[in-house]
Amino acid sequence: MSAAQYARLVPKKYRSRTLPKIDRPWRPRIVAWAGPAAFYPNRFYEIDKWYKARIDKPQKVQKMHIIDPAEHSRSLDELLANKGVEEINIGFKVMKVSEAREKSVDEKKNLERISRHMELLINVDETKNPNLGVYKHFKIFEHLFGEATFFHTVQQLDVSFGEDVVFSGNVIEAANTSAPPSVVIESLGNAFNTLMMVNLDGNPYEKKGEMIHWLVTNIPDGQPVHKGAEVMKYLQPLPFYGTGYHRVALILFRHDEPISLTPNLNDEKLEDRAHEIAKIYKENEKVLTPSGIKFFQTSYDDSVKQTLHSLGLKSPLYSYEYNEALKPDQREFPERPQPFNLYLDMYRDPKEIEEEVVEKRLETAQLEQVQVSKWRDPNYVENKKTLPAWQHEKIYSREGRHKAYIRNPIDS
Amino acid sequence: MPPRFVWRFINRNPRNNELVGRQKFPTGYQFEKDRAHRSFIYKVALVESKAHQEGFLVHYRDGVVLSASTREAEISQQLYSNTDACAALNIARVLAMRCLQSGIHFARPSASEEEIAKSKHQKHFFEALRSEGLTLQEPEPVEHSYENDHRFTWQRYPLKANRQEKLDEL
Repeated sequence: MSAAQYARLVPKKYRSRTLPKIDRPWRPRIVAWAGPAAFYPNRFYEIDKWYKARIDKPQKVQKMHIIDPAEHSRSLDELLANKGVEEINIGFKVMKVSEAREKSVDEKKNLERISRHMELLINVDETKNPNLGVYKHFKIFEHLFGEATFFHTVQQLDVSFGEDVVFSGNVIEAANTSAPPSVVIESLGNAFNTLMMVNLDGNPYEKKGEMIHWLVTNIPDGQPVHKGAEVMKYLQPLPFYGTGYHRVALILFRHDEPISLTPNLNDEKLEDRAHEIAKIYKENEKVLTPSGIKFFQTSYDDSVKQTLHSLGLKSPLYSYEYNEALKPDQREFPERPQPFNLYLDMYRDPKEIEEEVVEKRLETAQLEQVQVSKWRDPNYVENKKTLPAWQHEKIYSREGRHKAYIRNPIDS
Repeated sequence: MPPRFVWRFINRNPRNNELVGRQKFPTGYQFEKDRAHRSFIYKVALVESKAHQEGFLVHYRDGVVLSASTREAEISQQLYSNTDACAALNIARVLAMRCLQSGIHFARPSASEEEIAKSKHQKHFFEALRSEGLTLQEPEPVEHSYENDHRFTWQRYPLKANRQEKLDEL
């Protein structure tokens, strides 16, 4: 039933009186001359295939976005790995190791028996450490000779400060390095060696470079270090207070003829020891070839201060500067509800808080010493009832700056 | 008068923060199934293949730093077999020595406890590392707080999501 018919039948209904009476659009019941096919959607647009001479428009196919699975199957690690530039070997070629000898039957039997019982412990000292990875990990080559350089250790270099042997990055106390180390250089034939001890991180001056702590040139092959010419006297490495661990490298160069290094090097003052090793090496590249390297790490102890005093210098005190902790911009109406005391604390001036801490400390300070009470809050039960939580927390909290009320390491 | 020391001294040693204990562990990726497995600075792993065994020390950023393997002639020469548990033990001894010689004293085992309990090779490998002096745990880094930085006077607080915000998760 159409709406109009409905309205006629039910005249009393308000809705039928007020609504406009619109009939559903009817397909004409009467079949036109064209027959029912006149109302088919594509009656006149159908392509007539039989027509022979048709000129089509050039079909435009958009370039598809093709996802090549080979491109997308790489893992995140592979994608993030940066392919560095090709590294250059600035040293000597490594000689081939002699081939392994065959084990006899008896030896094999014996080895099998012990290894079955898990008692075969190999001689660890006989294994050579072929890992250059550590030197790259510590960026020794990069900071000494520039980026993308390396060399193999082809000449055995044994360095030890008393009982502390230098390997590749082990930590040695600065006090143990006060005297020059004993150095044994492998003899390889007729040539000269130059030994250089460099602190890669110890330059405290504006001038760029690393600190040379010991430089002995023209050591005849197979002879002890003191037979060479000591260009720079030994000075113990100086890792300053608060600067952490410094890398100290001992580098061995090999050259056919006795040399004198081109920039005149002297060791009168501490600042004369700061040189860019890469520059020195570049100038003498034709004659010098690095053949061995060892390094260790040291940090500050009392001997550093004493050495600096003996040089007529003061021992500088550095402290680590943290990046400022991230916090959102302060807003009058933050988007989400925040704990108001902590939120407001976040944006207070640190100096103001520092003053407050000192004031509060002085309140409790006594002539002898600050009396630390045994309890965080002696009136805990009472305060818990009466004070709001954020105020009570100020009293009993011992975290962050609240700790400084009790213990403030100003004096250290 | 000698030139003054710089006011701002920069230590270029890339390992300094790790040694001092200031370096935080990476937190892994948010949507990863096991986030914790990326949270390390150094980890040690034993990789067993058909003919060889290799021990690796992996750094979270630089990748493999140190390795000891039965591919090295000096090691395999002294062994009976390259693939038995005894070889794993000896590789651990060599790797531990190399780590200590490079000033690396702490590393996490990359294999889970189940894997270690299951495999004899892994068990001997990690036991040997421990007995040679490598600590198979990493010390927690020092947090940035008022104690080591007096400019950091405020306190961090966690903001937890309320029910309204978590509606789509429910």
